[in-house]
Amino acid sequence: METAVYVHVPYCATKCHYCDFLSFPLSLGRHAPGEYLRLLETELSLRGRELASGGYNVTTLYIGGGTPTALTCAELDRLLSSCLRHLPLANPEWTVEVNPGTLDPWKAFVLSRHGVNRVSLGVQDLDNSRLALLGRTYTAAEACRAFTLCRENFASVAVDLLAGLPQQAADDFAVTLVKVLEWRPDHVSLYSLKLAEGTPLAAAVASGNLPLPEDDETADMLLAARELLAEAGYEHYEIANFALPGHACRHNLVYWLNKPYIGVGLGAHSHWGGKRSANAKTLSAYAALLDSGLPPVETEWAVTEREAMEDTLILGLRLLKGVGFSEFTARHGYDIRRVFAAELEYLLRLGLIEYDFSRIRLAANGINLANEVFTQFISGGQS
Amino acid sequence: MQDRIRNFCIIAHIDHGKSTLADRLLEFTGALSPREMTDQVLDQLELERERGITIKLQAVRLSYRSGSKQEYILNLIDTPGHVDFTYEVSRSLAACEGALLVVDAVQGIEAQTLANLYLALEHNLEIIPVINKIDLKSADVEKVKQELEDVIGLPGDEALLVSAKEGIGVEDVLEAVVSRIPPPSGKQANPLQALIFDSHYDSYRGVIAYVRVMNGEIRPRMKIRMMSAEKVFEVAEVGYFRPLMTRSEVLVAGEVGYVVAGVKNVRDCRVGDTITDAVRPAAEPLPGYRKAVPMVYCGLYPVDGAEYDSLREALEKLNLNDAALTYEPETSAALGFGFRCGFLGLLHMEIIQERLEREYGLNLITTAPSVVYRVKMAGGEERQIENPALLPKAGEITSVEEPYVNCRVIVPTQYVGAVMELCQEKRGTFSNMEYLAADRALLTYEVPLSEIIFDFFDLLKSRTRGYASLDYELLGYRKASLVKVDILINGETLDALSFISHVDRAYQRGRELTGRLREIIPRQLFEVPVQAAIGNKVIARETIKALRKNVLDKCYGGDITRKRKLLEKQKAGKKRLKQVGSIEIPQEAFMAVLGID
Repeated sequence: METAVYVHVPYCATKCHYCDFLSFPLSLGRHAPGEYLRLLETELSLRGRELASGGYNVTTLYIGGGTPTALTCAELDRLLSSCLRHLPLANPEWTVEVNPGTLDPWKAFVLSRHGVNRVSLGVQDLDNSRLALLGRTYTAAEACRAFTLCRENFASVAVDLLAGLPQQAADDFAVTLVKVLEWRPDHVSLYSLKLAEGTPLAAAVASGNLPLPEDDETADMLLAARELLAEAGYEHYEIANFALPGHACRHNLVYWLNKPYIGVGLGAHSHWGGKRSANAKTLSAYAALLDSGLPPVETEWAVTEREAMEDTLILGLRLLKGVGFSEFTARHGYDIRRVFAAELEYLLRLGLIEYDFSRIRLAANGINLANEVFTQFISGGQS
Repeated sequence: MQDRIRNFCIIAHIDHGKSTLADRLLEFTGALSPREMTDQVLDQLELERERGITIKLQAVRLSYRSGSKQEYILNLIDTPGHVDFTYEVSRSLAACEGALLVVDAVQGIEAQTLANLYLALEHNLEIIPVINKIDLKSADVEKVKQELEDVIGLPGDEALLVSAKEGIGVEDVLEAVVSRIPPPSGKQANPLQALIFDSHYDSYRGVIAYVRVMNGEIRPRMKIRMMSAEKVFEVAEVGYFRPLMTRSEVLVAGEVGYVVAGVKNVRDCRVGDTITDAVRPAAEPLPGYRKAVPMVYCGLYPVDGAEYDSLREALEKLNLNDAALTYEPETSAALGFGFRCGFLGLLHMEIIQERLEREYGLNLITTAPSVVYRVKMAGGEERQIENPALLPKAGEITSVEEPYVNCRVIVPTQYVGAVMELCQEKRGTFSNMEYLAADRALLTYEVPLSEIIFDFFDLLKSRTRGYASLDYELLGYRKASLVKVDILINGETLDALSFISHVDRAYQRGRELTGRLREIIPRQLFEVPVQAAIGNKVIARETIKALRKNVLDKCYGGDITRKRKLLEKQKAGKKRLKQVGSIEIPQEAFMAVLGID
């Protein structure tokens, strides 16, 4: 059986100004990844044995962060070797998240030599002053060089871009996108900035010194970007994701199709055996569990049938092809049109979704308003 | 016995230290053990304490051994300190022979000091001026003495100098009560006349009436008659408050205490009514009774229609204790089923609202408060309009009258211009200006009550940096050119947002309200026009643009819980909105009409 594994690297060179995720900036000098890599190997061996004995093959492996490329060549070598040693890999799509500021030819070589075949390059923007605002540590020229390096080393290269940034007018985003499309990446993700409380960028915006574009303007940026991508031959296959034929991210499809996966590392989430679980979020708790031979799971809960149906819908509708009626019934034993009759009727009336004989999907108008759709299906009360 | 009784109250402007002084008097006379002593025992309800306002009045019986070694019974009757409760104040004053007039040594005389003083003088009370807070560095005792002489005509040297907080001068106050306030004068042999000056509902014993016996006596097992309510009850228990309820054999002329007589509803035991002996009744009730009349109305609606019954039950319960609160079922096209509730004033309204939400856990929508309009119909019929949405069409009306109040503002002289300007903006008519001292003036204006409840007090405070004090009383009804302004959202009239305005202000208020609603109402999935109209004529229009973006675009490392939480939060946010037709409207929209101008 095929399955997916995610490995979390909670380190960055420096913390970006908009980031509220679990990652430690190595620049502070307080963190040494060696101990973490040792623990990660322990967890990988634990999980790998479990997978192998269950007859599973890992067909997608995703190493994200943080910034995996903030690690040194030696550390990267150790991490990737651990994966190869312990996981039952079967010719996987093997993705690593790459920050243009921390990639060099030696790291690229280490990655590709171990079998990494896909990178996700977090470019975000190609305007130097906005990159500085975000706390990104590279320039547009360096991002371009990083892309070339990736192109030479990996079969599939994805680029992430951010819309809705401070000091970003509607045209600016298009300018960045057009430059990126000249590189011809295999995959493009368009995200819009979410201000997270407690981050330096949120503080700057709250102080009034750094106005963000209105939601309307960001919506316009995204609409214009979708047209550019369509003209360039990219398929819009998920709310925020576009790919050349054959380059859709197989790993992320596992999430969107509400299939099982295993997360390894600090704070990583798993969906396995009808349960969802989250690993310990502090290094000390993570270490204590692993060192006593236990899986480093902190919270775990069974997914109810209702929750599973909701997840299938709110994740599946992120894909533009939508959710198939017969697939849903085959999986859950109920017809979507019965379980969610009132919600579907309401959303159809508002023109946020559309359906044909076999599937429901977001309508063009529903893509930017997807949360309005998803909240209809959520019953709430779940932790 | 009667010449050893003194009945008195304390009157003061808010925050001048009435409650603290009352506490000290109780403490000094040993009415409470230190353990029982909460901070301000007379303010019972939690809400009252939070707001620093006494709403429910109470009476405490103190035993005092004077300097001349005589035992005295002192009845301290507390009075509410807010303009909404003027009638209740007047009834408790009627139960006394004297009053302590407390004036803050820093602030001097304020509007409520005067309003309460005038009331006390109407009841021929002996006034003992007390200058409080003399311990404060900025206290100016001489200036306050001068004000007492100039404004009130009381000899400044007779004022007692006190710091209730520090316990300075408390004994002097008690001595003055004994020596200056006359004893009560009624006769025990006469037929019973007892004045009800407050009552509260106790779920075990029914209504507990707070009374001052003017003539005669009252004992358990006696048949009594409420003279205005025309109901007869049998007395179960009498007693007095020390401050806990203490049973006694009898209450006689001159005494203050409580009566329990199996009364099931405060309506049968209204403040101001006279209790008499059913067998040997008094010829006349005591003067001054009137039924409390609501001055301000608003609609109260449950956000969740399923809570309608809970709201009704909560109102019933509050009403048991508060005869001044009225409520009638009302239906709004926009808000569904609710109640039109009447209150003595804005503070009374806010207190009830807060109690409903806090004590009964209800989630309410309150419509903007309105006064009662008197409408003469073309056919000669007269109607009372308590809900602006129900004002008949212009063609059916001969005239509309609105209530006016006599409004007293005391203010430092540098703000006189600002206050006059405000009163004029609020359609006020100047009637008088007096200088209380070189630097303070008393301004008197006649102002429509509707303007006062709009935002007058807030504006007064902000334009005088908080230095102005305000008091008002109802003058009567006057004709005015008034129109109803309707608000249309997505082309449909939202009845709960209709308001009545002077015709000259209608356009401006319509523009401002639509502007505010555009800010308050969240963007919907389609464009929503917001209009203000008089009859069929649209006088203002704004557009709420359609929502264009609400999407989460990333799923970090398969952490779907993070995503679910955000969606759940959005969903919970929507539940707090009122669904009106196809539009989701937040609660504050219904109060938005108050903030304009």
